[in-house]
Amino acid sequence: MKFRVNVLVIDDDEIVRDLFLRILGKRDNVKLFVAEDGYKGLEMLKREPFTNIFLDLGMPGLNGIETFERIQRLGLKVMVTFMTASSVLILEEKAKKIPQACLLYKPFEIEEIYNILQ
Amino acid sequence: MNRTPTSRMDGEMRKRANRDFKRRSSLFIKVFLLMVGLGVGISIPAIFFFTAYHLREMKSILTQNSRVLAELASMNVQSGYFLQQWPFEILKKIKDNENIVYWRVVKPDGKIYLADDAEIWGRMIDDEAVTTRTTLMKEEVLPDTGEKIGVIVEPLNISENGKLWTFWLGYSLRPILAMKRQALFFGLGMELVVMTLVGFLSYYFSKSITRPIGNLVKGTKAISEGNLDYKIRTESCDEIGELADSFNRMGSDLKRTTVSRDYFDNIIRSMIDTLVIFDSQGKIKMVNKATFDLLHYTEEELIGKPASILFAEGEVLFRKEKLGELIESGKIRNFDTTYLTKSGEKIPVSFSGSIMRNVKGEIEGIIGVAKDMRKTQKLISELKAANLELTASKNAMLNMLEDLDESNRELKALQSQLLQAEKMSAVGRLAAGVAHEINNPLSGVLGFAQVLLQEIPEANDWREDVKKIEEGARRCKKIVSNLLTFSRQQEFNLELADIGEVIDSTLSLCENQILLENIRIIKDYEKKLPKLRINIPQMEQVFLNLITNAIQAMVQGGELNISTRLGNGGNSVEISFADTGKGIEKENLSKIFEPFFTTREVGKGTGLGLSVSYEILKKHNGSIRAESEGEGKGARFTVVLPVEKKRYEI
Repeated sequence: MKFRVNVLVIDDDEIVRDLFLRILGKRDNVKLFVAEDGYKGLEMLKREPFTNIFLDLGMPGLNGIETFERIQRLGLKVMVTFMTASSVLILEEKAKKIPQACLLYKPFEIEEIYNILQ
Repeated sequence: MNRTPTSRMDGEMRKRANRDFKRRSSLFIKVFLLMVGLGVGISIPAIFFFTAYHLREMKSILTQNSRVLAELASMNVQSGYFLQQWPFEILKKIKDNENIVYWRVVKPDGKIYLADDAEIWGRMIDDEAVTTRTTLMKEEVLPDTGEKIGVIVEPLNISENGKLWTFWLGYSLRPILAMKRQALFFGLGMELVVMTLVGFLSYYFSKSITRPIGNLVKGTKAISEGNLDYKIRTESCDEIGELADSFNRMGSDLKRTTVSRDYFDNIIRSMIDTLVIFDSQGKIKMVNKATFDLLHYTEEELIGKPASILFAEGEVLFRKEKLGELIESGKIRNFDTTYLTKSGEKIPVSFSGSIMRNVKGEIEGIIGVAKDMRKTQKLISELKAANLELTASKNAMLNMLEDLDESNRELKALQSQLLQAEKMSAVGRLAAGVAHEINNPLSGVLGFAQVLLQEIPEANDWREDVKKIEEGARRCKKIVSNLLTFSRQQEFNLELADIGEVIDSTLSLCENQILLENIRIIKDYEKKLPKLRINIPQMEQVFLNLITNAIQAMVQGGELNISTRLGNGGNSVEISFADTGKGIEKENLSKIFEPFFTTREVGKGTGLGLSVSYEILKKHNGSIRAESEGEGKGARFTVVLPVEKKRYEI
């Protein structure tokens, strides 16, 4: 990764958050934040400028789409990648209709993460 | 035997009753008239004579009175003549009597010498009485009034030429006439009273004689009608009463000793079937009411007629052979023949007959009973029709049963389809439920394994272990993904594609495997196939599944024939994959599309590949079928996809 990226991962599942920390946490050009729900993620977004957000769709509290809508309202320019464990179809369908966001199916290959960040 | 049918009998009886009535009433009238006649015959002359006698008496009294007057006047006239002094005063007094019409003194030559009316003095009377020497009584009519009067001519003791003068006194007969009129009225009144009395008496007397006779007549009628229980009321102790008593005795005796002939008549009349009795000449001797009713003849029209009148033309009953049989055996039973009505209608009957013999054993006649078979025949034909209907119904029922069977089969097929769908949907729901739970930890397993692989040096033994973890995780990923296909309405983009190209691109995915397993691919694509509207990735999944299955079925290598062709009159495309592998057992052919069905070892297959393919093809309005001749003989999977009808012509 040639560019420096600020990455925020919002996922209620600890394994997924840990995986991101393991993949990206030790890299110099990646500044990684993780949040366990939408509210916390939004708090971080207000404090820190991010280039990429990995946003889980099926979460308790604010779901991925609601979180995304709030991010939009903040008027931030950030690349959003939805992640889905294929459990909530409606959210998946909604996510597909958002053109500026990508959709990543879990379980994913770590190569896919690299590709997205590049 | 009484051959009289009811109606005739009634007529006869009515006539007889009428005659009886006439006889009875004439007897009554006779007695009545006799009584009245007697009354009249006695009373009228009696009254007449009585009146006449009374009148004569009256007349003689009147005459006597007049005569006394006449004698008195004569004596006075005689003495007056001799004294030359006419007794006008006395004569005037006489004339004053209202009954005296006139008086005259007449000379023997007929010349009126003196009279009450001076105008007729000197007039001549032309009458022989003028010379009478004895007192003479006669009647004359007054010329002016026409009234009949009595005249007394009394000779006077005055002689002239040897002849005597006479004194004439005319007296009115009016009192007599008045008396006569009175007597007539009296007589008539008497007669009326007498007649009334006579009438009443005669009536009651006649009645008292004829009523018991009437009762007797009523009784005989009742008994003749068969009512032997009838008893006559005895009113008197005279001969008629005695007759009534003996009549009553006769009735009860009759009842004791005989049975009414009417009883038998009634039986015969009441028979439902026709009864005909023929005499020995074959002529009809007697018929019952049922026969008249059936054939519409009257008694006169049948009695004495030959038997053939009853039968329809050509009927053989009284032809020689049947008649012979009848005479020989004495009877014939239930012989089917045809009667002919008066109007010519043919009536099927069942005829039974028997010979009737007299005491000497000679044939006296034939008794024939015929039963109207129209209803029976109608019933038979109705039965036949009903039977036909029943047969038809039975056939209809059988057809219905067949239809039902078919419906049942269809229903069963539908049921198994439903069951299949139910299974699928259950699996789908399960998949959706567990996907989230599995996919997240699986992300960890796969991700961390890959991270480890990046970091473990090439020579390290762990590398292989971690690779196995990665591989396992990938397999899990695939299983979950397959499971999800059931529940997912994943994006289903259809696009027109050349099916051959799709197959080829799928083949290229498993080229290595094909080479490795020593498998020959033989393609037989039909040229100029229409493009199909399909979801390419899903169709690739189907083909990949089928190719992988085929490869795995051919452990020792073999051939995979892939062919495409148009089917169903150009409405569909059939893609078949035929391998030379181990084949499918017949009993498994129907199960292989069910979820989780697999014949492979545990871990070698998900058991979802074919059911996923099945679902995918269903979404494409296509189908998939499997054929196999059995184990070791290979298998053929055929995918059928519909050809899209062209909607736009350019």
